[in-house]
Amino acid sequence: MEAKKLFWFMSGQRREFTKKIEASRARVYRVAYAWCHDAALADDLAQDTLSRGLENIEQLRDDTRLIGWLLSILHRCWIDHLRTRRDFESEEMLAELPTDAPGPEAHAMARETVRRVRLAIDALPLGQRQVITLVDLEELSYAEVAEVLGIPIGTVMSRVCRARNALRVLLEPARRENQENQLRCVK
Amino acid sequence: MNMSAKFSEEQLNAFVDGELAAAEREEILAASTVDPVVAQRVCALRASKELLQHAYDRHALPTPARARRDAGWWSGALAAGVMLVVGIVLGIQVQRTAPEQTHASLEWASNFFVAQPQRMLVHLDHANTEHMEAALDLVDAYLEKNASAHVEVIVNNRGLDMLRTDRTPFATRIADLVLRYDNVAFIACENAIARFEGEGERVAILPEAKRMHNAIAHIADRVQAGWTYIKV
Repeated sequence: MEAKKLFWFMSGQRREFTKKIEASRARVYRVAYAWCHDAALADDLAQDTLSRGLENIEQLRDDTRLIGWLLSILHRCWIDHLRTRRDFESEEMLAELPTDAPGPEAHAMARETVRRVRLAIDALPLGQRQVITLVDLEELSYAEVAEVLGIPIGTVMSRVCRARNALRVLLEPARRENQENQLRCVK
Repeated sequence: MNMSAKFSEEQLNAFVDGELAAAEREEILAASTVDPVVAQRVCALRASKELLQHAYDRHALPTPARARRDAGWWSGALAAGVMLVVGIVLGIQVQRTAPEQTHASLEWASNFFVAQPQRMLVHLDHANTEHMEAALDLVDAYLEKNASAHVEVIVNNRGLDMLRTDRTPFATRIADLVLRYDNVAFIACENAIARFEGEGERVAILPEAKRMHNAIAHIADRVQAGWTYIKV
């Protein structure tokens, strides 16, 4: 291919990738929100991810891998954000970090299923929260999750198990409350 | 018939996440038709997945501030993003409604006629006439065997068509079922009704149908209370 044609081809592909990156904002935002539960922060993380993506667009060879590529950038943005906020030794420690316990206000909001589930997600260690949201929301395969987060696939599997076990336990009180309500209705 | 111990937590999680090779997948599917414990463990994991998806439904997310601020520039991109998500959701729906799967779950259900407590929840979330008919056949067969069983048919998303006066081909059959049995209920999800009305559709629901604020939350509660859950 002669140089001029190659240039046009490249710039056309670049334009297309740029458009696709911009169109992924809603998806990136949703995952960011599921990780941090803070609309403003999720918005900033999504913005950082998209601009880093656009800056490094040359790295992207194949647009079928676009969302995984963007999510791995989001993961790095998120880790960077946490680094500035907390003192910690390593990424492994970070993944195991417990999250702050929900306060009384959170309990008052916890009536609705959505809020109950979000509270439960919020209580998961960060590593589990990232894995389970990528598997359940983005429906990534275990191999893709391993690549996005840069962890072994075995770790993905064990985090999926632990996250679902923990969610079951965390949602248990809500379930009992619900059943009691149903009993009261029957009476 | 207790095979539950045979499958590890990892295997069952990988099963609901679609990570297993065909042979292993079929083994678990087969086990879940004969062993209620396996079926229940799989059901609970599926419920967890659906709950999480429900909790971060894009309609329920707070609107990102930047998108509002830069609406002029970003609205096109956002709309495209939304379309992408819709496309993915549709893709998932199509995957989920593969005919062999429906067949498997119907077969799976028939094994519960004898073994399980008499409570069954049938869920439809897409507008496929054959699947509607399959759901009604299932309810019919189930109630014929256990006239005192409690059966609920719950519809959300486009499954709502089954209970819409102007769209359902089964109005008479549903009315007849409700007339014959006291313990059968057809339930429409109010979230879905509100969504379609928000999109400018006029939604009229059969008089026999009940309404429930949130279908997925109701399903989760039923499953946790030990109901047999079948998605067609």
